[in-house]
Amino acid sequence: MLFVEFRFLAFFALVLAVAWSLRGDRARKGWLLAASYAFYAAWDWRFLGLILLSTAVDWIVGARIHAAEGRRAVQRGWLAVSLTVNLGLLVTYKYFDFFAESLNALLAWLGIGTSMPVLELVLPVGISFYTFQTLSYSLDIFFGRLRPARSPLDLALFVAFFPQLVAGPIVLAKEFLPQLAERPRWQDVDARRALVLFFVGFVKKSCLSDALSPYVDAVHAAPEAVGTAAAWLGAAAFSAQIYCDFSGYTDMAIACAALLGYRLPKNFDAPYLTRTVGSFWTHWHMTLGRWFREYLYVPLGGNRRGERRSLVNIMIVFLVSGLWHGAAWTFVVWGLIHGLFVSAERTHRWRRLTRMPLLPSILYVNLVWAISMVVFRAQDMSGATALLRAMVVPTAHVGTAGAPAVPAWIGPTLGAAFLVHALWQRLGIERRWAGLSPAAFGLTYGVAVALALPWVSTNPAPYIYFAF
Amino acid sequence: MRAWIAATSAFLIGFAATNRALVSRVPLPAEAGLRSKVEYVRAHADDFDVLLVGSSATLYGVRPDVFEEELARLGHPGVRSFNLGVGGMGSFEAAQVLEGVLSERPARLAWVLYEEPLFDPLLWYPDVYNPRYVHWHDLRTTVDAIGAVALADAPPPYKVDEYAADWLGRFDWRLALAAEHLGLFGWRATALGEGPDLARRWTARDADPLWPSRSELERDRGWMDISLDPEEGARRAHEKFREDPAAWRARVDAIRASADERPALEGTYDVASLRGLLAAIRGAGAEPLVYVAPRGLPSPLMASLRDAGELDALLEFHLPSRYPRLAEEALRWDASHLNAEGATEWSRAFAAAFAAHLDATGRSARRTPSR
Repeated sequence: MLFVEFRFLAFFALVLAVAWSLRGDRARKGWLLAASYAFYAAWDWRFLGLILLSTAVDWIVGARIHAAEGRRAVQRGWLAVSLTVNLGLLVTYKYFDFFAESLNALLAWLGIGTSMPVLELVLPVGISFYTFQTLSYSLDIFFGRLRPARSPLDLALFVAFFPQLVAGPIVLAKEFLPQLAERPRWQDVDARRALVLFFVGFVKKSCLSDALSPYVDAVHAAPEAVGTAAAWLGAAAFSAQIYCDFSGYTDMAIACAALLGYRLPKNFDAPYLTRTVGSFWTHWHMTLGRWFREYLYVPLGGNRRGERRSLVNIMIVFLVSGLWHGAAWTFVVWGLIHGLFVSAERTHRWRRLTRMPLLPSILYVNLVWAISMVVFRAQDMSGATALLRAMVVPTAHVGTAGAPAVPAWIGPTLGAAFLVHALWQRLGIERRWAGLSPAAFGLTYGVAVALALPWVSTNPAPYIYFAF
Repeated sequence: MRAWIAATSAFLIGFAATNRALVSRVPLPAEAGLRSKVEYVRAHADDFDVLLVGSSATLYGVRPDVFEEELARLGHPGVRSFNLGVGGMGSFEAAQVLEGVLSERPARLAWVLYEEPLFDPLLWYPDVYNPRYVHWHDLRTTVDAIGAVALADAPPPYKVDEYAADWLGRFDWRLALAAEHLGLFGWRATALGEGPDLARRWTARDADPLWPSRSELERDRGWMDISLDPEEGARRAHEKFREDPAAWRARVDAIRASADERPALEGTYDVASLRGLLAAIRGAGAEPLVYVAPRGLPSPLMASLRDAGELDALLEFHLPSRYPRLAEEALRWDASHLNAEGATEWSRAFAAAFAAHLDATGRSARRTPSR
């Protein structure tokens, strides 16, 4: 069930109406939990068991860690249980085959005639997201930053809350559980702002991302047949597509949560207007960056142990971040590219970059991003290599068999994506629009919705980040 | 509460006004030459005395030049006709297309020859949300189609499982079918996905030249030689027909066997839609005349309609007993269509049957000055 589908709108309208009409807080939370499980079951009900298992384990572990206050060894033991179960599930479903196949390839290369079996399991939707959320619960209790949830219902709702269940933003227990302590009040909901956010997210995904998707797919389906211009255009199109896709999803998730009375953290802040790759990562998928910073980079020592160790930590974080996105060498390489640039920018010589004029520095970030995203999007390393070669070595394969035709609308769509990205937050359109009088807001919203519908893709593609 | 009422009312006004402006500008689908032919006819609404409205059987089967020549020979000279046959055009779509043409108040139009108005609400194409289906689902036609759903006796065979899997279909496949019609209405009502077409129209930058071209329409007046159809499906159907002549003979036998069947109309046919169609044609000052094309299928319902007095007359070109030449393999491209030679034959036969009808009723093929 995609946010841009009619059935989701019907589902959400029902959830919203019932949630605000229920008087008791427990009943309300119970309803939202049931709705969240139903939402997930619409993808694949078989994997609900994983969410329940993860929730149950962290409920027990959280209580035990808290009860063992002062006994660090016991606490570590319980934390290890949480890490083992949660990361164990993630590794089994997402990474086992990747590691097994990589090991098998290595063994074959060494001439050792043995191999590990592959499981060929289906990847449960959203497992990377909810695993990180549940982990944040146990970790924060372990670090003494959070008290255990008051009830299993609260914890279960935190883990499964449907607006952010399958693709984030990655909410931390310490910022969501306190919101469940009191029943939200409709008077506190900024409904107009939420509606604006929902609309812009819908437009980003359904009118822009889905319009770019067929061309990007075509470029990556036939990387050998793509010429220089098409390769660059494909890279630009994917940069725009993934932004519109992911930030569009996030906007809609935040809006849905807001209409239900809950706050989700911001996940994007005009990342393509940043001036360094390091800065980019504080504006792109901000909640993932925050998670890695709090639960990996800082525990590894952060920048407290000298510059060299700090650079190693950065490389570790980006390597893991690459793997978090997917179990393939393309994601590992993609993570390493970003790790290298972020590390390099910390060195004395590269710090001059921050003093570059605005446009060249923005261009630098976007070039690094677009080129690295060729690797990210490629089916495999050979596809990535073919496209990167086409980008560097001038070739003109466009028009030959297998080469994707350049659609006439790609220019306007890229332009619209740029405008949405560059102007939306900078000009405060969301705030200004929501601040209009009720009648003016309703009128402009009606006009905007009617104008957007003809541009909605009639063949919506799944969100890119659902695959992670 | 007052603020919400104001916002909601303003939303509805803003949405409805903008939506209406957009929907009214959505061009006709270009598929199968629909846009090209309909726009041509609407632009030349005053040029024709006779319009032939129907499916691909009409498109490939009636040559206006031959039809007019034969009419002149039979004492009805000076008639100008146009073949508004479009591949895959069923009764609901045809009725809507015709309504658009009639809204131009064609001054000269005297006759609408209409192919077998079955008013079949089944959505036969696998890709239900195709531009043609979407476009004919305006409010009125959707209501008519959903009304006719109750009269349908079985879904297309290949969709039985699909409907059974649909949650509405688990109750009754007709509910799933009605939901499809509603969905198509939703697409049409919101102009969903029509942005690129609207933009091309506004910027006058249609990517591909429309087919058939204006010069082709002026030369052939809507008829098309099926052997020139570039669609792969036409060639495949031709090969299949040639490979299995026994199948065609079996179809002819089935038509012969069912010639005297007269199924009950009550509960099986959408008489209200037929009456509405005939009234719309007469309201525009023209006369309707229904015919059954020689498309290799029996048509007992049309005979029942004639016998029940719902149709003044019925031209039954599908009956091998009356038109044995049209059933000959040599004149056919495939089971549903005639080849160019067959089209010439049918056009002559059509003109003869039409002339006989005119003579019998004392009417003219052209509007009289008093009309």
